[in-house]
Amino acid sequence: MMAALFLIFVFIVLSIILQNRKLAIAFLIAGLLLSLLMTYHHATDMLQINW
Amino acid sequence: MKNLQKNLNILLILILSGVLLSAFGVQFIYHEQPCPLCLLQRLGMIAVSCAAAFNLVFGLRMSHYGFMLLSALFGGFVALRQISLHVCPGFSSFGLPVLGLSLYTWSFIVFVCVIAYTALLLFIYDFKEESKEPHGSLDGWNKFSCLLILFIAGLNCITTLWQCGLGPCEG
Repeated sequence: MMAALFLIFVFIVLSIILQNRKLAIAFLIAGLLLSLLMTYHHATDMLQINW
Repeated sequence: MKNLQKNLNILLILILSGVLLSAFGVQFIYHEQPCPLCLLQRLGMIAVSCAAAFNLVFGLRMSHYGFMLLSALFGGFVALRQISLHVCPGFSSFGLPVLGLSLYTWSFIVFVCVIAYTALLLFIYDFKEESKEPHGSLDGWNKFSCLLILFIAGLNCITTLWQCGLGPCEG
């Protein structure tokens, strides 16, 4: 899953190089949201920290 | 002024690329495998670089600086969270210290500097020029910066796949 996040960022840079702004922004928003979800997953499921 | 802004965006990408390549240096030379939070901080730095690349290729826009700030806030939050896991006396720090500070502390300092740097870029931003701004270009340093981010993101993807497989990288 973590590797997939990096793959999304590879797609963002490829979209930038191909000069497709809307696609790049869509990938960037998706990448940031999934990164936030991963942070939440790390905090709750793995370390079992009560916020 | 527009050229100065573009050059400062290129400088930001080069500095962040240097930081990310140094992290690879620590990973491969000292055999320090990155933890999940370290990988998320790397993602934050790549996201900031992507937002700067937006400015280079699609022209200078406020929304691109917004993405830059959001990405830096995300990375700073993750770094601060990792600091909070190790900061109490009796808890050992994680990884190799560099100049007396842990890598995640350096990472937090980098993200704070990125936020301050973006504020500086916004100070010299010309709001009247945004609508007249022509499309950016993909040549010379712009192309080199984009390819550098692509290389770093790709390398991170491969090493993370190698380290964690398809799972969430538990560690």
